[in-house]
Amino acid sequence: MEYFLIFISAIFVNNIVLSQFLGICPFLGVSKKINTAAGMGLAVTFVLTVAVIVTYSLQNWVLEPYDLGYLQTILFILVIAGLVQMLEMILKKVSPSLYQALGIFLPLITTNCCILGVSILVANATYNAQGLEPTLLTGVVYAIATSIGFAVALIIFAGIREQLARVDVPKSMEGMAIALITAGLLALAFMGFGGVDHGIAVAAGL
Amino acid sequence: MKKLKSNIANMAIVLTLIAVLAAGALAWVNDETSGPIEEINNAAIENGIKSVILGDRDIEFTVESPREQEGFVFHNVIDRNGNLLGTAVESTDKNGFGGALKIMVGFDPDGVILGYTVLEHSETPGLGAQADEWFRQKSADVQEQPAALDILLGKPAAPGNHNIIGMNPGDDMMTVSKDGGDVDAITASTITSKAFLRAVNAAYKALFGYTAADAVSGASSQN
Amino acid sequence: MNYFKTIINGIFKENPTFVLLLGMCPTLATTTSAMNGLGMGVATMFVLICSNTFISLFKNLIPDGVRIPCYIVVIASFVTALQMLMQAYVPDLYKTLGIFIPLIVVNCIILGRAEAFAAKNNILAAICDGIGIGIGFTVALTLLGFVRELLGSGSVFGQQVIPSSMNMLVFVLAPGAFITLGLLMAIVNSIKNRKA
Repeated sequence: MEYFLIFISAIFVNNIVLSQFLGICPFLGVSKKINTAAGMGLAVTFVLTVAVIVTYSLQNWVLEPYDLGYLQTILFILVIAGLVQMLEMILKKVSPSLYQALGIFLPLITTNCCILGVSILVANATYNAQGLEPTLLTGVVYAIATSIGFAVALIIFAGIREQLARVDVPKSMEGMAIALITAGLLALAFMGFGGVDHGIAVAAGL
Repeated sequence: MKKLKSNIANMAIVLTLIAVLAAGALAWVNDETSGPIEEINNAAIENGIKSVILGDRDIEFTVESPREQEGFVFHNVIDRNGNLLGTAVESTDKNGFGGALKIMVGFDPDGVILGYTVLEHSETPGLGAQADEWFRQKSADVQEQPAALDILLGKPAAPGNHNIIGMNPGDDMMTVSKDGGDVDAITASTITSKAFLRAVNAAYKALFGYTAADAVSGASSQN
Repeated sequence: MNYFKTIINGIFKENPTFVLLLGMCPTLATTTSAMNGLGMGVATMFVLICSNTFISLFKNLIPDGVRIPCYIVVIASFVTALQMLMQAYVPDLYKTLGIFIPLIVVNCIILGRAEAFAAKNNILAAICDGIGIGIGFTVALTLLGFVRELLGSGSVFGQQVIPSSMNMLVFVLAPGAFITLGLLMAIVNSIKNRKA
């Protein structure tokens, strides 16, 4: 049940983009069409899940036992950069069509603050695990839930922007300005989900 | 000077060199700063104990060595005659809005709350982060007007009670008023407020064995 | 090369926030108050100047094939050093900025400037670029933080100026960040359009 709550919380209540401000660059940059948004969402899900598994393990078996906590940032970002490289090479061989579709997004994922951010949150256990002990499993669930939240926000936003491209926008508002205001309204809408995870928890007797 | 060629040997050597240099430099910075960092952490606990038990009072005191039990840390504070002034308890609630919420709350020997301070939190700046200020006495000259949001939510126009100093979790219902308790939650931050009060109640229970809030929560879970 | 022009360029013509549209994550997340925005801007500027200097210094010793990983290690090292220094000497700001300090590593501004400028120019120019872009970023963040703090908490740099009952809470929350930045950008755009 708590795992279900982690999903509800990460996708709706504390959406990673609309509420925690991680992953804004691709959110604003890659969301002009729905299928590119979906592609980016898929790529992020894969990279984030693998990244969390590797970084969590490194934190608990290498960094902490040897008191090397200060190397966290460097190690994590190198791991992520390496993972993205590997993913690119694997995709090129295994599924060239998918590689073509994702195209330029893959190298962009390295600088996606969402990936490094969530890895750090999970490794330091500073995320809302809905009462569970922060283990590797909850971390992975959180990572998957977060990437779905990222994809949902991205796809909804892309849908709105596709419509927005067809209407008259004041000249000063064109481009990023109107996109940001739209994102703000979307974030406002998502605030309506506030407390839903707690409500479900109470209803389920937790 | 021409750039180094990108053959495997050069690339590997340069990358490794930079990585080693970086690790070395960071190890040095780590050594230099770990002293001040530890001092700051210890000072925070010491200042915390002093402020939650003594408040503004100027009494000579000593702190006994901390006692740890089941995730709580107890610091007994005694005056120079050996009388117990109070106990400062470090208490953590895992279900804050952004993760664990760690507070230190000071009880006098009868269980009355003398003071509190928030030690660690990941709550929202401007909202849940207000916890350190919200639950204590507002100074007399800050007139409390009901916030527009409160009026919208139908809360009574009179300023609500959210000062926990002087309350006793053994007698008073230290839960949010939404749940029938005596304490008003931070506007738009119910989750943080509930986590905070849970931590206070847990600390009291660890010291005294029960809380007034137990009776109600026990009943409602038997659906 | 006109070094002064490089600095001014970073503040206005190539302002990272309003023109280059880089580094959005920390811009939106850390500007709940003017002080936080200022702190974040200065922290980022520190890393930017250091990394620009280092990369410009060694640009001929870093083979093209590994330049991105090398840049990343350099930037990450300076960020980690900054983290430790902040934790030791400005602990309150460190706690407030939280996770966004390590996230300076993936701030597209730093990697972007390393690639676009520092790797192609001499050291002094790289330092000036770091200063200019850093100031531009800090000004943008402080401005955004100032507006959000004033409207959302009624205070300016911590001093209450508007009574709390008249505060529009939304501005210190997530939607307010997006909307405020969007409106500021529209204002900047209209100024640019009028000049053109």
